[in-house]
Amino acid sequence: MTMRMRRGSGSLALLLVLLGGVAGSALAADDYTLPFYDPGVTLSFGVDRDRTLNRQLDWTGQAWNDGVPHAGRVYDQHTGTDYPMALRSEVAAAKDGTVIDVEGGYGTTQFGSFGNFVLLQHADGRRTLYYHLASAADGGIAVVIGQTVAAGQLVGRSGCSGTCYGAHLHFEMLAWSAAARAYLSVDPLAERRWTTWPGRIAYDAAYVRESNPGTEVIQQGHTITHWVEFRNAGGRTWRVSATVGRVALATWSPASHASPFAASDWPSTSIATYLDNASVAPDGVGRFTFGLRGSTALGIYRETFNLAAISVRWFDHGRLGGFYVPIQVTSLPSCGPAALTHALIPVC
Amino acid sequence: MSALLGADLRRPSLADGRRLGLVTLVPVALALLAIGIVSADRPSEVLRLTSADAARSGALIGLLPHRVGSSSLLEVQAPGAAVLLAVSADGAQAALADQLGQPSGTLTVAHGDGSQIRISLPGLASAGFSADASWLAVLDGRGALWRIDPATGAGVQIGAGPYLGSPVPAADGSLLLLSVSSVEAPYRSRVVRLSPAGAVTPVTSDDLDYAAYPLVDGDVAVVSHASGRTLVRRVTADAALLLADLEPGAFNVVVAADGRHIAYELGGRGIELLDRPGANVRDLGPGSHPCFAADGTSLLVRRGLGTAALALDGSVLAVTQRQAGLAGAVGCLP
Repeated sequence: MTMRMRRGSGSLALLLVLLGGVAGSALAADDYTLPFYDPGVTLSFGVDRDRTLNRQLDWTGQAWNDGVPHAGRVYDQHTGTDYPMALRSEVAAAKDGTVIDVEGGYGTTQFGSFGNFVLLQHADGRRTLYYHLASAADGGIAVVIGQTVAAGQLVGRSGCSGTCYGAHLHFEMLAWSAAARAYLSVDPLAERRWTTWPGRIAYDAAYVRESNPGTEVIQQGHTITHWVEFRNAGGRTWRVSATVGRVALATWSPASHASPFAASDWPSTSIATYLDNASVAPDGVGRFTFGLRGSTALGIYRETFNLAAISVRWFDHGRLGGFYVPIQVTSLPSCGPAALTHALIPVC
Repeated sequence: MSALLGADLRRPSLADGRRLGLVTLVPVALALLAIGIVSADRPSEVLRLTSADAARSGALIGLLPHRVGSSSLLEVQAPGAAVLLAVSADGAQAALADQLGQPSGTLTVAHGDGSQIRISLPGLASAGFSADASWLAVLDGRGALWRIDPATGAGVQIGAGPYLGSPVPAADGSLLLLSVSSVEAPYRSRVVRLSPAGAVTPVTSDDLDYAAYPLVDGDVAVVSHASGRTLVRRVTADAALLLADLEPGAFNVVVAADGRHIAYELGGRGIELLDRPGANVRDLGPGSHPCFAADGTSLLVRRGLGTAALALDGSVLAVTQRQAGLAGAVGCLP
């Protein structure tokens, strides 16, 4: 039987209620994604919105008249948001943009005044900075100056270069200040730039349902149609028209293997289909419809699939409930899916 | 009165005769800092130790001078993980950090007679002696600039910054500094000059400067990052002339005072030396953190826990098993 693990969302909902109470009724701008993929990463320090020494204003609006760090909130004069993560963790673009500067010459863990970074320019006029990255030689820089990137696209890997006392990503959002004639740090958390607050990973999905949750019985040499629906649990809208980040259902375990069940409607032997819908916003449900052809010897099989944002990244397969389709290739005519809903062995 | 002249110090040092054991006072001071009772706007405590005090508490710092060509090399024998920040031009004093960047940072000025001045400076990051060794420019963890009297430990904050890198005092009492967007993630950094009167004047209009070195003719050599590359330029009063466009991956770039030699690290390849004119690049072997002698005729590199003084042809002039600094060298990163 296909594993249909549904992930609970109660704790996240509670967190949002609590945070909403702190933040008041400000609407989420919701146009950036968190700059990493690992859902286990949490904030260690946010932006200090009070630039006076020994006075701090954290992202929840709480003020502190001191100069000591407050874990999970802020430290004095901090211009970014810090996310501790293991060395060489994936770092992603927070929004579609263009790479305008990179530095990758410093050692991955080299302490000093300056470190490795990627700087992006976005169409809304803002910039985002990804600091303390690993060295270019160590894979810390995944982009080049002038390259366009999509939200959620890998731009580098984390390190501890520069003024750094433990591996983390320093993410900074910058907005042009006419008064200062410079880009100045703004607080993405206080502005609620993320879909959920304080954040949601860019590409994530949760299993909803499929056309046949049991075993698909396919007559040898014939093709049946299968569909599956996933809820967009990430921060980015899924689009089928995108050149980078187009969401597809592709073979998994191993990734991108040529499927023996690929039907004629598959874009390739490893991509079963792209998203049926033109777009699916966060929390919406997207459907993926594809054929399965009984081309193998008679027997019982399983074919495993994962979602992918093309040229960006694979989704977390575990968070899709470990999705796969059980398949029986038979010499008998195929039965309709309604008759087999809970049957492991076909009878027709 | 200029704050830089040090006549209006906000906090006096402790009386000369006051001697408190490190074992008792320093932990208390650190604890107070940790819980935020002590203001971080000023050095919270100053300790003066005689050579005998230091010996009794196991904190003795030995300064061992060596002659290397026309320069003086000061080998520093220090307890624990102390990091050498700067050596005075006369080779008689050294500034050390017990640890870099930590909330409990302590600056120690070690004198040739074995005495010490210890000043608590949260987040202590770097330091540079004035040309006459009468004062010390120090940056703390939030990029604030301090002027410290190395004889008494008296200190005053003379700039909120944030500044980064090693402050470079000039003979006229001014300072070359890197004014940065933030201490932790400086994607924007410009060389500025802080005059003895406290006026801040931009030296460049660059997006990201990494270091500045005064040249003997009064110009400034500026190392900057531009479009993914590292450039070295001579900045005059009205122009900026390109000296070198370094290969990708070059970092910790230093420029000799004559502007004719540029040394840098290259990931995995050690130290490179570029001669001008001609742009001839030579591999000087393993090492890190190159630093030119004041006269530019030799340079010091870190090798393991010690150092090696090298001639410009790469030959080894001296080796120390401990950290060491060249007297009067400026702008070298800790």
